[in-house]
Amino acid sequence: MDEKPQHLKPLPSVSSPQPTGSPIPRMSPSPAPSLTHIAPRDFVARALGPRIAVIASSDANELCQTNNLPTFVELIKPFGELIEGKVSARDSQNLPISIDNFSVRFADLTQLEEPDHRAAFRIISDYVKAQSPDLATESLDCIRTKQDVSQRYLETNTDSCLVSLRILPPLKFFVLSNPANLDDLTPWYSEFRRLLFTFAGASEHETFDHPVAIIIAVSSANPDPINTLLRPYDPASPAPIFDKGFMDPNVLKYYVLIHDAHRTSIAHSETLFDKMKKTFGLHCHLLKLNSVMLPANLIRTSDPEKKTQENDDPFSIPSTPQAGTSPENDTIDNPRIRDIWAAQMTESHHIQSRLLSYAEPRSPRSSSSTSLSSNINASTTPFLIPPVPIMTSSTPTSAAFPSPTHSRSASASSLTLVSTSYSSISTILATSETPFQTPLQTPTTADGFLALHDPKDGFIEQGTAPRPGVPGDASAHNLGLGLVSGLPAPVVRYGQYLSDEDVEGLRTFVKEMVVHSVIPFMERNIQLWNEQVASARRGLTGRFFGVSRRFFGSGNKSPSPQSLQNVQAWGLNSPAGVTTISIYPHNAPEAQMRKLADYAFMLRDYRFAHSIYDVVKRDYYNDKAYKYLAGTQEMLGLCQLMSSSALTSKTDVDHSFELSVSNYLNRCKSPFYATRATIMYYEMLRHRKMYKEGPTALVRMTGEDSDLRSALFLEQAAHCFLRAPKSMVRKYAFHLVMAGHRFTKCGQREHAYRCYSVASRVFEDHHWSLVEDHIHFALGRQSYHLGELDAAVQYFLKLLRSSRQSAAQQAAYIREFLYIYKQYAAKQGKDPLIDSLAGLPIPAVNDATVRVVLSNAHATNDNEEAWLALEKELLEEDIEAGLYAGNRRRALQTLKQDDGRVLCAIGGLRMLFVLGHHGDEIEPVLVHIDVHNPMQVPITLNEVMLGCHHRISTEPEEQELPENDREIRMPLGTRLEAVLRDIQDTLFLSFGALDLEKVGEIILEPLQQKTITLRLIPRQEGSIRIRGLHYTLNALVHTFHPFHKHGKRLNDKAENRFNRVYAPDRSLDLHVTSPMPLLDVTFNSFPEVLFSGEVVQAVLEINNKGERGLTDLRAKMSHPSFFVIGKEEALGKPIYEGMANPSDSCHADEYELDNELFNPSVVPVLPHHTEDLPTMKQHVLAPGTTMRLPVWVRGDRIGKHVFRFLFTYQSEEDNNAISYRTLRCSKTTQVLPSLKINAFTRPSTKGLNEFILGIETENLQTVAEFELSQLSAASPSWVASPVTLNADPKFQDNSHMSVVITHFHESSEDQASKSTIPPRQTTFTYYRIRKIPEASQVGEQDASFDKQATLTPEQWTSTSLERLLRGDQSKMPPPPKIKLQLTNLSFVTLSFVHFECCNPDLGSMLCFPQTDDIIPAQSTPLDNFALTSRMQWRSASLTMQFPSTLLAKRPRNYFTLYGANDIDLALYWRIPNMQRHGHHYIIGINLAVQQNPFQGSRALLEATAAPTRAMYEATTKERAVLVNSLTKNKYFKDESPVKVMVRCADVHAFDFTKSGLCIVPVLISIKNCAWNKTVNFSLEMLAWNNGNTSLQTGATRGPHYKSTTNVFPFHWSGATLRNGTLVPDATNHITVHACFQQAGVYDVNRWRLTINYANEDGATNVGAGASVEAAKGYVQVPNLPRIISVVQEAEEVPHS
Amino acid sequence: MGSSFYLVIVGSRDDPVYEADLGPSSKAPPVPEGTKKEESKHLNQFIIHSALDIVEEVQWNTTATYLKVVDKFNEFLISAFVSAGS
Repeated sequence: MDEKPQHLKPLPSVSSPQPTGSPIPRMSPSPAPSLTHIAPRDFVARALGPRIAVIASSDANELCQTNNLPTFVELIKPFGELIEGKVSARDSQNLPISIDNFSVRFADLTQLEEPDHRAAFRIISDYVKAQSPDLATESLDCIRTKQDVSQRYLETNTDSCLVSLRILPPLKFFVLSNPANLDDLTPWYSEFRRLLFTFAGASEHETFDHPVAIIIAVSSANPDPINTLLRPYDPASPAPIFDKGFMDPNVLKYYVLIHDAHRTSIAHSETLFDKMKKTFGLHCHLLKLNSVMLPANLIRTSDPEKKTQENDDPFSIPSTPQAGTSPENDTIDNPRIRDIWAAQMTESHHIQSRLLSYAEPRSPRSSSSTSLSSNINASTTPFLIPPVPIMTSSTPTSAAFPSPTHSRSASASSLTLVSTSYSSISTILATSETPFQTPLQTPTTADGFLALHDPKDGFIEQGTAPRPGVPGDASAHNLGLGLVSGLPAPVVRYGQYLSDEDVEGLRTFVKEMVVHSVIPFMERNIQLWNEQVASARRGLTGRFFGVSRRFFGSGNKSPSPQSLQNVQAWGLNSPAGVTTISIYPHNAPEAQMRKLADYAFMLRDYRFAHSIYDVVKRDYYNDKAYKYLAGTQEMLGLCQLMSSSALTSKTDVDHSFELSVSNYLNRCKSPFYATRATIMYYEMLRHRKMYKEGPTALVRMTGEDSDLRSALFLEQAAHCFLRAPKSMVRKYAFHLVMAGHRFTKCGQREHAYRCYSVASRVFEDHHWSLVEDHIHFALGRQSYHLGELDAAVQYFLKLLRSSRQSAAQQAAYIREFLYIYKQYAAKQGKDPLIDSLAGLPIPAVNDATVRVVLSNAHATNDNEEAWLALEKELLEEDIEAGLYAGNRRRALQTLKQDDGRVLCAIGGLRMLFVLGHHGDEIEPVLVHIDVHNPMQVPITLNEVMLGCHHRISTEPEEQELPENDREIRMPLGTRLEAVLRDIQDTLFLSFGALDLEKVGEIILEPLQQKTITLRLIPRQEGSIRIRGLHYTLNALVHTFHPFHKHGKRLNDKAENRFNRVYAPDRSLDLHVTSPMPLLDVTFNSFPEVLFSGEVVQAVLEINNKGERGLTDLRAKMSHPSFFVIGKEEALGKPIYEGMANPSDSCHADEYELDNELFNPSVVPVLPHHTEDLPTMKQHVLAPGTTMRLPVWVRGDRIGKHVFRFLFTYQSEEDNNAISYRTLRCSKTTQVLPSLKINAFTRPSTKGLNEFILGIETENLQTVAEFELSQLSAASPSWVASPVTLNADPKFQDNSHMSVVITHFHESSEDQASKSTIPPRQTTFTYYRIRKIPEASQVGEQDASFDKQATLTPEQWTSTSLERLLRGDQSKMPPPPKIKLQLTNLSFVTLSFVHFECCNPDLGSMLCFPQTDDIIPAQSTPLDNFALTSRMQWRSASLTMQFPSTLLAKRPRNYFTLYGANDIDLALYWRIPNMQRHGHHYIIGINLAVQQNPFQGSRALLEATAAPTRAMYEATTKERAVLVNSLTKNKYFKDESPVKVMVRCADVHAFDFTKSGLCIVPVLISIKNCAWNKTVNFSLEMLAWNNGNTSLQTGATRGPHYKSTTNVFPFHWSGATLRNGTLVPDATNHITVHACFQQAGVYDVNRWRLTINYANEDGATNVGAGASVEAAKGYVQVPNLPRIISVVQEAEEVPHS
Repeated sequence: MGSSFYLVIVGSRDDPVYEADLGPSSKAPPVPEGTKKEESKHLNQFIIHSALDIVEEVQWNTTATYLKVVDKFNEFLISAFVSAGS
């Protein structure tokens, strides 16, 4: 240290602020982040820092070994990592640059060689594997979409891209403090990077790893230090590394004398040092070590094993430092000092040992040493096998946590160390081809490496000097043990005898050496070379020289010593097959240029370095020295990146790196350097935050040669994508997956798993099915291999689904899944056949269609909605009817509660008895389950059984939501006591409360859909919840699939509408009650096809299979007009066979009828149950009995129909749980068109208020020939009759009669043919419809009696509407019964009837046989058909007329079934040759004057229309609609109630010649057809001429006949204006006289009638409305001509 | 190896709407190639999916709906159409 001032002088610019003598206060190199984490730029600078070789004498090493450090190199190595403070250097322009963080790398001179890169990669692989990946999965799993890459996530990385250059415990520390750092996210990568650079070795193409200086160290204890110092580096016999020629042996030598305070006194050392200075000049240093005095027992040095045994509490260091260690030591700074070496030592040792172990198996390149290396193989491998356990000491946990894996046998590692040292020899031996034949050199010569340089040298003696002290073989391991035994346990106290001063001395030593010797040396060299070589090269001559050299040099084969040489390949890293490589000798100008550039680079003069590289690159290119070229290109790019200025062009840099990498890879086959270049490039990109360029660089290096590297690079690339300006999450995921794939390939399972699982989060829920499959499969496999069977099973479960994978692939999935699951179950101690695995996705069970069907119900899988609607209607009907009392009402309530629940009775009890005879009589509850196999491979389900849960409580309210059935339940613990009862080859297992069917095997073909039906027999009352399905997949995996079925979506509340809320489903919750009657219904001979209108009798078989009597059976039908259920007796009764009706055949039958609207769809089925007598004992269908009832089916409408029958019934006993049971039954029938019937009415000209009914019948069939048999008309007040002339007795004229009859007679021949309609033919028949005289009389009587007992239907409707408008809530009496007049007119007898009419004597005789054929329209099925059809029509028309009013909803309260003027027609037909018969209805012919149904006061309407009194908005609105529908209904336009008929003789003969004017009486009948209105009329007879004008003004239809007739004028004689009043139904006959002047054809129908409602007698028409109604008069004019022919009498005279 | 195409229509939420392998249908591929294709099917999906990132970036730079070759992976070229609403 005395020399320091001397050294300082030539280098005045040392700006070290540090007082060198004093110890630096807190100078622990350990976890300071600034030291251990270096920015990428520094990292690169450091990795390419100057290298200093070290040669130490054995005694110097020994000195270090007392400090548990094997060599002097190891001792000083940490201090080269970072030179404190700034150092300054001079650049090419001699300008000072100050360098921060300068570092040098120390290496043993013998270890300058490149290590075997393949082995290195394997070591790296081990290290990478050791990095536990769980760190990252936590912090990274948030990345799913772009949004997840938050700023926070990124910024932690971008601003501090720190590199952990070494030392793992600090890493651990740092990871915790900054978890999102990229390096800490992927510590394995930084580990990889770090390790890769530790394997740097001298290569020919660059000089970074060539030593800049050589340190020669000797201990002061050396007896002859000067000689010893001189000897190791003898320029005459250089170290073999220099033999290659590319390395310059003329480097700085620096001599170090180590003062060992234990051995020698300081004075001795000082004197020695003085001597040294004299000999070697300035480059000397005295290093004082071992200042901590050795305790008395010096044995420790020679027996370190004992010492390590002492401190066997290795991990308590941080908390209780050195608790058990020797008290004499400095306990305070010991750990700190020790930490300087700890990690490095353990690691370097392990790296070495591994390097050896991996290098060994590789066959050496040179053939000459094959035998040798194989020898070595044999001898060393036994020792090498054990130490494979992962380096726990290199993981971050080592310092902080005690880890059990630390225990490692000391002997094993010591052996490896021995072999390490040996192998270093052997490798050198093997490669250097020096003819050392050293089979004798057994591995036991631990210090053989010292003998390397000169085996006969005294170093051996010195190195083995301690050996005598230790006896035998132990001495051989002595050195090794001394350092190795401590290695496994970090407790080894490195530097145990070093004081703080010593450490500081070391630091100073390194710094001084660098500042005073190394840098000046480099600067000198730079200047030298720059002047001698580079400037020459830069000039024109230089180039010329280069060119000329190439031209001329190519001529002579022997290359000049200055140019490229071909040398034999050496080293472990030369690519296979290459025996020679080209190198430049170190003194060649190209090599010197390179060295110059490298020195400049090391001294951070990047621009200068760049220019040199650029120059020399051309030479390399020209010489095809590709490795040199690649290295130069790499450096070119690096220089640009390293220099502090901004990048000129990104592509330049990228291009140079690309070229470099491709050259390294393709030309030089040196992936190691390619990797190195890529890493440096990537680091610099990170430094410059050019993340977007990162992936291209990284992916470039993801070739096939190293999966690990590719994987790591891909992962880095993935992270780069995240950090790119626009983070690309998908790219990230993709690269992660690729990385995972590569990790898989190289066996890094944890890493693969991590990559895949992180990536899977991005791909989640995106339906990239193949991607998902791939990821899940990979994850499943990885987790399986990692022992995470649970996860593996879960991942494989995701694979079992419908996908686009091939069948083979899916089969493989299943196979692997089953295998893994088996292992999983074994590990979990589960029985895979009993314990269930949750969430098995195959087969897919459609929960929504799981349905419970009572065994008696016919399997219906059609829409449930329709059935529910039926049930609801039925229920409402029952409630509305309100005819139930007492227990019935309560029963209804429970029925309502149970809505949606399946009720079933205990089915088992009777089974015992019935077992013998009827198999299907005891069928249990059936559960249908739709399953689907989504896979393309068949699967089998075994042991399929329902999972049920039985509750004792029968109350249905109790279950709200089923307890969580997500829990995986042990399924069938109660499998015991299986009462085997073989019913139809299936196995029933008894569970006490219920029996369950177990199906042994169900095979599902690929993609098959199947419905599984399982049976369940309830045995106890209570509730049974069907929870799910048990099955065993492929007889291996048992699982339980819970049914999750939800009810209807709730829409009642707003929140329910927004969210999807479903009603709880109860359909799988069986309610088991006491025994009940059980209905079974079958239809026999139900028609498949019907003609429209055809009536067919079917048989309904009702069977009570239950155990109680069945009663109150009713049927609700979806198509009520199709069916009539008859009584038992009527079975087989022919319905169209008319019974003899002897009394009045063609006259109307009369029968009474409830005129109330009713619901035709609910029909009591059981006989003897009459609604009239509800108290009467109802018919009970005893258990086990069957009843057959006739059902008549009529094809009411064309089309294909699905008839639904809902039967409800009760038990004869009072069952409080179930009141009603229902049974559903459905049938399908197609109804074909048969006849098309049109009916039309015209007012008859023959009589007032008479109509002609025309029926047009078209046969739509192509084959069948229809035969019309009868027409029945039913009406309260109208009768139909054939068109005859006997209708009007007053105008009966014999002469006319005869004409008509002749007409009839003519047609009577084809009358029979007229009643049959051939296919595709149409016939017309005409009838006259008259009002029944009696009825009208009655009506008149009623009118006269006024408001007496019986109301007409219209009156009833009107009053009920009035009450409604008034808001009268009191109950309206039901409408009075109505008498229907039924007229049956037989087609066949038609003509005979007429005969009878004309000819009573004959007719009665003829008619009698025919009357048998009269079809009794009022007999059982027909009347019901008529009623239901009528009802249907009526309700349909009402809903049409009053849409959306309550009139339509509740028509029963306001309208009657029949109006007084309605007439229904039924046309009966048969097809004789097909034995079919049927009838059509023509319903709804209303012959009355159209009127508004409400005939009350208008004031009432208007009053209610005003909304003032309304309390509620809704009701007001409703009323407004109602009133509107009554007042402004388009279906009701009031017509004039008055009908007018003008009658006169058709032909009037008059002899104009005799008496001038012909005066013809014309009878005008005026009839008021209204039922309640009295009218005033005024009739004005119009003359012919002024009629035109009046007609034109009066009506639009005037012109259409005004000029047709009346060529000649005629006149009315007498009064032409009549007034009168007509009460309802009254007729007024007025005779007027027409006066004709000459013969001709005249239209006498010329009049105008003005009608007003009479207001004076309107008892109902109160005065208020009078004015309105008076204004609403009618003006009627004739619309048809009434032709009268006036003929000349003269013509007729001769005729008569 | 012939030119085979893989077409995916991707929905706005990154999920594939429609997928189709458009190969040179005239030549029925021999069995080994078929299996090879089988293996690479998921790779196709990966590539397409990751190319979406590029599409996302590129689509703002141009008004055209056809984005030419946006990405490439090994020998696969990816070009994209972007619908008007994107």
